[in-house]
Amino acid sequence: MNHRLLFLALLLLACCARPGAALAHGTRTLTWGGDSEGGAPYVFQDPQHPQRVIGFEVDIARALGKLLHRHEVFVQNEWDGLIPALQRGDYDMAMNGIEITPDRAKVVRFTIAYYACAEQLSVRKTNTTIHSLADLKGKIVGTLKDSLAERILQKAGGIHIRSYDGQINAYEDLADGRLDAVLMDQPIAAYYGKPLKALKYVGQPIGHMEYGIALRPHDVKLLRQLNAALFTLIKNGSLKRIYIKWGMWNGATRAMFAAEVAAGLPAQSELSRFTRELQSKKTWSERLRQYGSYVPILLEKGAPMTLAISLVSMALAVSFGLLLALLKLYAPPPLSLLAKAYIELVRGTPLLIQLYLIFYGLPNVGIKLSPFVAAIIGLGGNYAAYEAENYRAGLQAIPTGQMEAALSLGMTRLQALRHVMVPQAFRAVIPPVTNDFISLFKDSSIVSVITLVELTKVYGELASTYYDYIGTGLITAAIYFLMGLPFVYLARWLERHMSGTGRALQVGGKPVNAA
Amino acid sequence: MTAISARNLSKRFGHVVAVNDVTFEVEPRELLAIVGPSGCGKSTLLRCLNGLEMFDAGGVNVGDAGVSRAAISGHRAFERAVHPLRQRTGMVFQGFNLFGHLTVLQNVMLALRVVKKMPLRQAEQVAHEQLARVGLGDRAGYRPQQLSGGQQQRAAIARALATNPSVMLYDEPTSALDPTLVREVLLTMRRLHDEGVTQLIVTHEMRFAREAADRIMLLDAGKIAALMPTAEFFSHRGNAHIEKFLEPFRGVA
Ligand SMILES: Nc1ncnc2c1ncn2[C@@H]1O[C@H](COP(=O)(O)OP(=O)(O)OP(=O)(O)O)[C@@H](O)[C@H]1O
Ligand SMILES: [Mg+2]
Repeated sequence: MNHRLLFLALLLLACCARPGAALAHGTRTLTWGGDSEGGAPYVFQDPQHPQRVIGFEVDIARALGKLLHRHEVFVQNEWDGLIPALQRGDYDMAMNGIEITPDRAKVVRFTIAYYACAEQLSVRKTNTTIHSLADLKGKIVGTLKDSLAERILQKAGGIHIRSYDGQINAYEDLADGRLDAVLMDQPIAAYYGKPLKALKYVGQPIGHMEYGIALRPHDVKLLRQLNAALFTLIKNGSLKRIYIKWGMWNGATRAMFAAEVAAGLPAQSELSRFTRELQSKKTWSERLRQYGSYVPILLEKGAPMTLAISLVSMALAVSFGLLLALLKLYAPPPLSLLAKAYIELVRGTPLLIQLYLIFYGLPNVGIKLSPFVAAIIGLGGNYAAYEAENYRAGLQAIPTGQMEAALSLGMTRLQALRHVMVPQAFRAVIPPVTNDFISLFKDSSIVSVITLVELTKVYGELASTYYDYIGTGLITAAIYFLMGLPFVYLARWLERHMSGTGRALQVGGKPVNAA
Repeated sequence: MTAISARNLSKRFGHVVAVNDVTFEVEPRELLAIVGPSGCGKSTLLRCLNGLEMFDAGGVNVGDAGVSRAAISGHRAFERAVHPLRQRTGMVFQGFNLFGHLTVLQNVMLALRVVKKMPLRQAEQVAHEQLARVGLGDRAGYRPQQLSGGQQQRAAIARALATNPSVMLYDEPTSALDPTLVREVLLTMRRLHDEGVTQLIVTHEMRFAREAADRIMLLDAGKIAALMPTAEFFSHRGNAHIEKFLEPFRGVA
């Protein structure tokens, strides 16, 4: 390839991989990360102009950019990954309703807080029993994962917590009756809970939290500039105007601003001390001890659910798959066509979409499934289509003489299938089914998207709490690997066993073993 | 009363008329050898008799059960109608078609348990008896793959005999066997003949047909070209079909 072309291609690649970062060096830009899927009023797509993002944080970014004489550029990033991407250098700062917590403050640097609020409890209008946090015992309560609200609920104890990635689903599930209550940040409650006619607020706002802008620890200069700019925006009332515009101005923020103005800007010396502390490296033994502490959490909270989902889903896949294959091959046209269509549709569409349709789509037609049942139906129903194809291949590989021999002995077609065809197909199908089970076991991680707390979900929680995607990731992968191992060996044993001495003949009564 | 009979039986595959208006009767205890050149319709005729092929016209009677094609429309109805024929016949295939996932004993027991709903102990006993009958009493626990071709075919015969059919149908039972293994299968069928089992045997073994069969049926292009007692068949003069068919065997059989 021509060198200039290669250079251009590389440049293009670099721009794609790190949006904004490439720009940041040339022109004076201020890149900031947020998740436009996170929703209103933070950063979200303008319903009228979906190309454009709006929100109160977009307004704040613009005001900051003006003060810093830098052109602010929004960089889209998944909310969970906002801080890792910041550390990676994808943007200069992250601002998207990120609560200032001690855990986060260990890995990033926060500006002075720009907003304060509390958590708001919502229930259905028809509910008369829930008035406060104390009434939530034994109830199913939705919240955002990794939020103050989630921690408040966990601390209260005895509550069935469903942690969501997005706020809309939680409030819709509440309206549908899948949840008993939802606890979320006030702005979210105001934008997503309040508009729903079926819902109402109950109780006093709970807790107190402050949002800050997250920076890389060593960006001391930018921190100083942003703090000064925020200070200006607080003092000249610009921030207050933004909050009034978005209907978010509240007492907590007013009080916080007053305190911040009274305290003045943080002293320079204090900042550099903090920086040094943050940059001090952990020793290997400290790190190992920390990783070790993840193991019991993963094993207790995640592993049993992963195992349960995999086993039940596979049982469904194997039995439903067999039915599909038999219908496709031997049933009269309407049924066989239906089975064929099911197999093609399921194999031709992504599992993730199927799960969303089952969990979030079906309630629209009045079918509300628990996350567990939805996961089983989604995974099992999906794998059934693949198992059906395995069985079909297995059945078609059996010589036609087997069926003819069975029929000429006076068996009906159904009896011939049951006693002659299926047992032989089953044996042929064990190796591919085994492999599919191992894939399913790993694919079960995908059900974390429908609020089910299994291994991958717990991994996500741990990783985003400690901002440690490597340690938790390796440990989680190891757990998957070790848990899958017995099944690999079981399958190999079964395969050998089934083709060797043969399966007991079960004809109505007890099994007849080979003489 | 006849053991098995066909009336105006016809079966075509596209343009090929494999069985063309065939009518015959077989008496109980009789051994009928069905012979004819390759592709003349022997297998198809045999498979019509137990409904493995859905014939286009005519009818079949086995004992007190009968199927008339005129009264039937559709595959499903045909399948239901021929069920009594299958319960009254046993079929032995060129390729044995033993069930590979079962032992020899289980092969013989399966229909007893599934079709006849026979109690376990009784089914086991019957299966052992039938295996002894074909000289395989000591091979009950073997898998089909562990047997020689001749033993496999005898096991298949035992499996068909176990349900106590009134007619046995064989489609070239020795064609897939080593020459050294043919004898044991032919002997088994002769012994069954002596026991009084009614048998229709499609075969190319003309010496066996001459020695064991009561009558010979010669098929040609789907039609019965000759059907007569064995001695008469082999001494017949003046029937062009017979003479043409027997030509290659002169001096051999
Ligand atoms: N399933 C089928 N589809 C189409 N044509 C067939 C089918 N089965 C048989 N035929 C045709 O019908 C005719 C009779 O076949 P059949 O197998 O009955 O002959 P055969 O006498 O048994 O021959 P062979 O001695 O070679 O076994 C042949 O022309 C064959 O090609
Ligand atoms: Mg043939």
